[in-house]
Amino acid sequence: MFSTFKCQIFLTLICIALCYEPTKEDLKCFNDYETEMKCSLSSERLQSCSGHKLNITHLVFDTFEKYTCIFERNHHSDNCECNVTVEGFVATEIFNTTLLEGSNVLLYKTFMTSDFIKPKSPVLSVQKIENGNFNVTWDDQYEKNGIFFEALRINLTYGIKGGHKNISKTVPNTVRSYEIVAKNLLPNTNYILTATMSTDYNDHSIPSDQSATVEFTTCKSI
Amino acid sequence: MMKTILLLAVAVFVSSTPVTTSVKPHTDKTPARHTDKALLGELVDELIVAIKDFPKVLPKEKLIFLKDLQMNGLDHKEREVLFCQVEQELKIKVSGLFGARFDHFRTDKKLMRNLNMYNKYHVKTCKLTDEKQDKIPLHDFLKNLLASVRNAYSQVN
Repeated sequence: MFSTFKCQIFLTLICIALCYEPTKEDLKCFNDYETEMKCSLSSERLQSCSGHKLNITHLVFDTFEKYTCIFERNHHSDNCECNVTVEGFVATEIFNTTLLEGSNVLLYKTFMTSDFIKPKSPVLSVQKIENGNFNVTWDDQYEKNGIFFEALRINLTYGIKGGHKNISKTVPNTVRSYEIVAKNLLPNTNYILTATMSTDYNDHSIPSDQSATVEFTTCKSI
Repeated sequence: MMKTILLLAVAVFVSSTPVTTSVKPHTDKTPARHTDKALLGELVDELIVAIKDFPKVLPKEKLIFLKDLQMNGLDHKEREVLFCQVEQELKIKVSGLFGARFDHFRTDKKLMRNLNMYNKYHVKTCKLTDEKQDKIPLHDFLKNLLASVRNAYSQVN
């Protein structure tokens, strides 16, 4: 009788282990506050992205806009990812999402637009200027100007290539450039620079993905 | 055997119950100050663009007339009522008009959506003013509205 009971417990545990049970942390969505909403599903127990999709309902004025986001494997991150194109974003509009495996509902999750804004990564450029300093400029990758772009800020990080110590500077996006003073740097040294962008719309809580790295080299004598 | 099946059934039922979660859903009636700022700021941006499509001087047959709502010298509560009335006026008289220059006022475009969301958190419904009220051209209506929205924005900024 006892061995039968153990068998029952074992079978129950097997079932619990094999049944995929996502948590809210497994599903992440971000919007770029322009046209794109991207979602990712990550879980060690998620064997395949196949069959998983997200039904999205977005209340626009008095109309429900509906989208279907079908997950596919991202080979870089090993997550299941999908994206949808939205007709513009408004700060307090709500997205209701339903995560499905086939027709089986796994999870409901609600997002308010401003809370899940993740700005686009900036594209950096560095130019050496006449006084020997380095002028950093960037493209925020947004087409329009206005209040949202004024609410962006860029976090620049630079340091010696291969080194461990970095310097970080945060400036408003509207400044459009930042000057790195050469005399504060080591001569004849390679430096690398990266940046992220964040928005005041959600108190800068979600930074963009890191930009591509740019390099610059200081003169032999500064 | 029955016990085994029952245990398995309970396990499957428990593991397959959908999880309902929200990511900071907005449940309060008054949004955070920064969302008011975002909505009003975006409204300023959209109005500036919309006004460009409606120059002051237009042929008479192209003029659209809206109620001359009181838009200046208002306190906070009065302005909330105004924005609600503005949304109704634009929705009824402009949003459905044929022509590309009225696209800014479609209810799926950002001007109306920002106005709608602001009103959802402040004044959802409002008493419409008398239709016999004086009318002004759309250009003047928008310019007055822009000034009022800018005023509101400066108070939350």
